[in-house]
Amino acid sequence: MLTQLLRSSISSALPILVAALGASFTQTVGKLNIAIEGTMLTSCFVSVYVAARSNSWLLGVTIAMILSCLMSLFVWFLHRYLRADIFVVGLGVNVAASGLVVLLSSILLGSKGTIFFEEIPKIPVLRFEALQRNETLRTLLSDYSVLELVAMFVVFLSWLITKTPLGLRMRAVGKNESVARQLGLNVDGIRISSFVFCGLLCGLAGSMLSLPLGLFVAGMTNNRGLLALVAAVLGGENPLGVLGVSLTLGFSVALSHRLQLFTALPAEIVLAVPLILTLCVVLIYNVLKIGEKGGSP
Amino acid sequence: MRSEVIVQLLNVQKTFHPSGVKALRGANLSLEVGSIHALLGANGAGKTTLVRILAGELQPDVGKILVDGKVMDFRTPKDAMRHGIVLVHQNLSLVDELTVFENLFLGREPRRLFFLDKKKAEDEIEKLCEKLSLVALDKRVGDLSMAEKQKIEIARALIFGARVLLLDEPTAYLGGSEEERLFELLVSLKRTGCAILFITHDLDQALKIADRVTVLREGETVLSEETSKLNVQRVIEPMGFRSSEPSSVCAQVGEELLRISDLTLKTGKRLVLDRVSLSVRQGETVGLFGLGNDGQFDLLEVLIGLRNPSSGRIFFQTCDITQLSIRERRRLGIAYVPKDRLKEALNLEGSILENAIVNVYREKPYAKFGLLNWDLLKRYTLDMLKDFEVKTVSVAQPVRTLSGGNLQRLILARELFQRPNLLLACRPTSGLDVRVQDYIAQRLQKLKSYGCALIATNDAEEAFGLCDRILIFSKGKLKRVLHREGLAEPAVLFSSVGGEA
Amino acid sequence: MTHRKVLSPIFTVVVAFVMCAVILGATSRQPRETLRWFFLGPFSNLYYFGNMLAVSIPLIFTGLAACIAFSAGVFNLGLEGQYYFGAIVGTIIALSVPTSRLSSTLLVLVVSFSVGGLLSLASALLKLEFGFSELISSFMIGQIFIYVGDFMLNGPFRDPEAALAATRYLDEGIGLTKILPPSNLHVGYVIGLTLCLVFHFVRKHSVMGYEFKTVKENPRFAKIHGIKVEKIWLIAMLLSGGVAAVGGMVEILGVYGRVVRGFSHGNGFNGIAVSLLVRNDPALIFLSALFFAYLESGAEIASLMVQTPPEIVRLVQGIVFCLVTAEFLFRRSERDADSVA
Repeated sequence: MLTQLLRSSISSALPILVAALGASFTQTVGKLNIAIEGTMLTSCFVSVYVAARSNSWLLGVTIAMILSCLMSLFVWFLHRYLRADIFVVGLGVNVAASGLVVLLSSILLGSKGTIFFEEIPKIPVLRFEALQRNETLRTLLSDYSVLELVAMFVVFLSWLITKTPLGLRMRAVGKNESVARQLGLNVDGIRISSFVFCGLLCGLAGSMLSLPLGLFVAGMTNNRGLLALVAAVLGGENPLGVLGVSLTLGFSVALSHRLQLFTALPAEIVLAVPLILTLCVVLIYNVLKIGEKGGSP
Repeated sequence: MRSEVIVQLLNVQKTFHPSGVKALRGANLSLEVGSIHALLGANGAGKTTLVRILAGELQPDVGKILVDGKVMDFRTPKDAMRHGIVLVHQNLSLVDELTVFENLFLGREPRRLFFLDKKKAEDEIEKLCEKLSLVALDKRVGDLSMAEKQKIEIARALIFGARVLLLDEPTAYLGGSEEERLFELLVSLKRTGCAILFITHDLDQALKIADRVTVLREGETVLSEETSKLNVQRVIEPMGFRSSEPSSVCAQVGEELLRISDLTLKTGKRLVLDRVSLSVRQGETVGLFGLGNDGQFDLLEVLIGLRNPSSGRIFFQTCDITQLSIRERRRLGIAYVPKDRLKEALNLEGSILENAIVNVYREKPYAKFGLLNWDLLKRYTLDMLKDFEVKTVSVAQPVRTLSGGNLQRLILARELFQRPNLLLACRPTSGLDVRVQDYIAQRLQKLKSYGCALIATNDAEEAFGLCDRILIFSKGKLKRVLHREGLAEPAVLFSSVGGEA
Repeated sequence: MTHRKVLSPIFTVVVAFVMCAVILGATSRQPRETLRWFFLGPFSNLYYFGNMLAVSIPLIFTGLAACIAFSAGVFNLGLEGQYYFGAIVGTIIALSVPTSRLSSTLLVLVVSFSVGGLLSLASALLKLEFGFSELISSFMIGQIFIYVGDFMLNGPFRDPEAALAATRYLDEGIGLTKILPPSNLHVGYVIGLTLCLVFHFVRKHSVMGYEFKTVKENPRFAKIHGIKVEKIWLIAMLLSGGVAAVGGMVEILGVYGRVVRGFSHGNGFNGIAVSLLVRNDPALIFLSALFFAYLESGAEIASLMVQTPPEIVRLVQGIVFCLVTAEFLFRRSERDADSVA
């Protein structure tokens, strides 16, 4: 039972984690991209749609990632070259995306409700024969879909990036833009690359939500974008921190699902659990930070 | 010993826009390989501007930069760095949140495949670390002392292959023994062939370790000579401090208005003010003088209520005001002119009217039942502007449209029009032309008849011209008290900073 | 400088219209009919027109709420939650405490104001105590209370006879008079306009208005000259949350008569765009609200007549959001970074 919960937590956490890492790249350069939710949602739709039409889930994911990249760059463009408030633009993209996907869904597929894609190719799953006998090991380590494995690899990649010169420069740009400029760093280029990473990761995260299920419904992301943002902000530039928070959030999401199914607790309160938990964590974090600095913020 | 010239600046001129200030009017400088060169001059003489031009941060309007005999056109700092010229600023260009290693190599990171190769870096700079006795590469720069941060900046410059090291007031934040160690370092660097140019206010320092001294005055080079042929007197003279008439000390110095006892202020680990005690009477203009940021400005911030002292008490007209809010202190008759004229003393987004009324808008008759009487406020502002000779077309126009001199008049008008008993002012005359400076001195005179003033500054001329009594601060400690009448000229203040209290 | 201020919002509006036209035209099987209903529908008769005005009412309140916060330099992102939850609590109180008509109406307005005010006050306090961005905290608290509100509507306060998750109907007596029957337009419009004018007056002529402006433009300057910056932040957030909640309550009193789950559908967030579009000028908020209401009404009528998907509005609203803080036509000043002497 516990291992099941653990496994569900990991599966719930992965999309959040991937999106959170994307957001944390932009956070690292000092320009947090709020549009995670909208980008993920769009990629949810695009990935299943393309996969169904082309009969290739790989193509679905790829196109979704490219489109998400474009969306992120759109946010950056409006902020950098038209001086728009990056936060409001992020909000705008989220709102626009929510309308866009329903619009597309009704125009292209004729329905606004839950859409089942019948001919979606199944995503291969990695099964370890050797582990089949041990119940615990089987639950925890076997049967991850390729997408999930790719996600784990991507998480590892993101961690690696922080160990490269680019990662260092991103941190420098985020912490002290004027010094970075003084030292001749290409501040704009570095920021653009962070938005590109963000887009790619959100694209992957969105695909992870819809492709395995082979369906799409409006509101599919269900605030996971918000949770990703929280994980990014709390985790800081440290991917391990983001990992930790995402796992916690994944756990709370999995838990809330279970609570919904198995207890009499009302659905709404259960949905609020991740948020409340997050708020508490954030509060505690801030209190600790103040205590550390020893005095007024 | 042959002295080979590595860098030359010829007839450099620079005017800033939109202020129109002419910072350099034809400055010359010649820097030799393997030498230490000190750049001196009063505040605003153009030292920092000259050095920034050499480092490629600014472009000269007129004049030439020659490196190894060839004319250079530095568009960006990187151009200068490519020729081995590196500037270490006063406010250092380090990223506090990163480690020593990261700061040292930012922009030129050693790599292996795609990753940062710290080991390679460590090997590369092992010798350098030893020579400079740098701290561990893993430490966070923000946790280090100013002296160590400076060493890191110098180390970084050397790693970048600097042949010419430019230092802007390197000893500003250093303590006694740290200064010594820095100088030892500079001397050893000079021996390896590095050319070092540093800006300082400290004449003794300059004469002690520099091989050559250049003095700037109002944007021009007035002296450039080997230190062996110089003494303090010969250097001070060309700096051109205007010896003004002493402000007439008020015949009747009245009762004590302000008393501070044992005031201490700490930010983090740094001791900004160290048990400062002083007293000011009505009729006095007291100067708080320090060479750099020695706590004199912070003291005024504590007095107006912006910061809370760690310990100590403040008495104003015999009341203990240590716990009072800013608004309450202002109501009691304390006025404050902050250091950052544009950001703190003014709201640049607002109109002249909105800026002028900020001290009085809550009082009757300007406000009744929470509503403002704009007509009265307008009249108040017009009266104020007239009294202080601020020329303006309409009070509704944005305050940004006023010139520098008029802005300062407005600021002073706002604080003085209410006839405060205590005026706290940071560098009230800095960056203004002589007429405005004289005007300000006049108004301060008027203030004496009913109140007193505390002027915090690092400009010797200003202290000399405005104050009756000058308190010398060094690194947060009140070192000595000088009376204006006993002083011959502003330059004396420089030499009085060193030595015992 | 002033040209820029007027042109940017106009540009945004134009872009919004063009986008609508293009998308509708391209995706509909009867483009001309669709466009006609979309752009002219709201004016085609008094009923539609009245409804359009009615749709703008909540936006007037939430737009004003956003404007109040922005006027002091703070960002209230919890408008949706304050709007929703304030109305729920107000309605529940009204249902539980039967009193005479006028005092009931006043009572629910006061109650909802307080609830909304408390919600945003909470995030203001977090900002003061911990330096925690009020933007994030107000959003999160708002979201949480949307869920709490949903719970209350689904569970303990649900009307057993209702087909959907909703409270019981308020007494006939409690409500806001309709102005233009049979459309939904009600007295709330006048209340909203009045509040906007009141705030406009306060901003220009009161002590508090001056302090708001100064704190927003230069908080350091304000603090140095004795203004209690933190108190201003608190007041601004409190008023902002309160007005948003009153907006929700007014919508219930005037249109719905009871709280239906999800009745807020984005009015809270749209308030932010409403205010930003007119650069936070309270006197113009009703116009901006009307613009948004126009888009929504047009979309709704078009969807009734020619079955266009109403979600197109959300798409356009999103784009408006994106453009509303952008600046067009400014000089590219990449000049020499000269320091000012």
